[in-house]
Amino acid sequence: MSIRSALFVPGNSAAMVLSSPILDADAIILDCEDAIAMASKDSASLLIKHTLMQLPRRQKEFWVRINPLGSDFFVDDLNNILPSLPDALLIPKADGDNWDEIIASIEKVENKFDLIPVDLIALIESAKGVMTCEKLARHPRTKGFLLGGEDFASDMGIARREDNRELLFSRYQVVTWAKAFKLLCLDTPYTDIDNLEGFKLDCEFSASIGFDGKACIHPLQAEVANVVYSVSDDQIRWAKEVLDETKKQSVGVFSFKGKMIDRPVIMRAEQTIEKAKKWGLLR
Amino acid sequence: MMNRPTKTGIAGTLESNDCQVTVEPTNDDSLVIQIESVVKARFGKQIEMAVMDTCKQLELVGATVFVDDKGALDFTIKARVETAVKRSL
Repeated sequence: MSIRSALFVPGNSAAMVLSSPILDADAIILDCEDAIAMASKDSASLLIKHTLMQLPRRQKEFWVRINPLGSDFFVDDLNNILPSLPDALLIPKADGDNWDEIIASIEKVENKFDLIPVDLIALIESAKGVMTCEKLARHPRTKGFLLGGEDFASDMGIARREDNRELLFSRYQVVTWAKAFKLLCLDTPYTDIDNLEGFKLDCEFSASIGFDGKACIHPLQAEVANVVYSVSDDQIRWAKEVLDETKKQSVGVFSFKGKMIDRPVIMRAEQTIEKAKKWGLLR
Repeated sequence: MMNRPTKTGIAGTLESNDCQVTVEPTNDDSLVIQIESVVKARFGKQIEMAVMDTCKQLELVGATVFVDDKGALDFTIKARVETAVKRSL
């Protein structure tokens, strides 16, 4: 799973759902939860169900954010959404205490309809979620994390800041546990949709500490995220040169263009080429 | 088991690419479908088929289903019909 941008789309808006396949995001998150009014929860769940059953979707992934365990809509969402085969479910309010029960509920529906297990992305958006994400990471059904900064701040009783400094610990904690178990890790949405420069800086920081991509709330954000979390032409060129040079060398450590090249550097070069292949950037 | 509406159920919107579906109970077992659409001349039959298919799958009887379409695709029509029917039960 390789996602640089995951764009939230309200699941009850026919026009927005219809246009989502042409938007420039690696994944579309059809939302049943926060973007949907209580009176429209059933409507959103059923629109997503019928959309996924009929919409051609091969160029990008379609995820669904369902309503949380314990809400009136959790079981209905599972019964509506899972048989329509989303690429992943985004599970809100995930933490180490509720993860087993959530997965048991999902598996009950998967067994009822004889479905292939869906990928699960844990939305970590509480203090408990941040402090128990090791358990989530260790679970074999977990495929990734998404950090939810807004709910996390509410749970902590703190205000959001322009520079997201209040999220520092949670970001490092979540991304490090994700990397420890080779999981996808997406960063929290940036809510000032008019400030693309601030969004870009936020992406650059989160990319620098290991996040694979960003949750987006506007198509323009997805375009920026796709660039920031991608690999540049210079990085690809360097990786190719390092790997070519490695083939010529018979020793484990060697010098290339004045820099020491050893196993970790070679692995990073391999990862760069792997990413470039996934996103069609190799020429 | 057949499903019979007990009250009016409404779903969808009158926004572009959407449709508003109203399901009302009747006094008999009939199923009446009425369609108003900006593209009725060209796609009326297709819309009616999407509505009928969904009503059959839901085993709906004793209902009038009115669709006010604003250019919705098949899957939107089916979703709105299913929602309106379930809200009417």
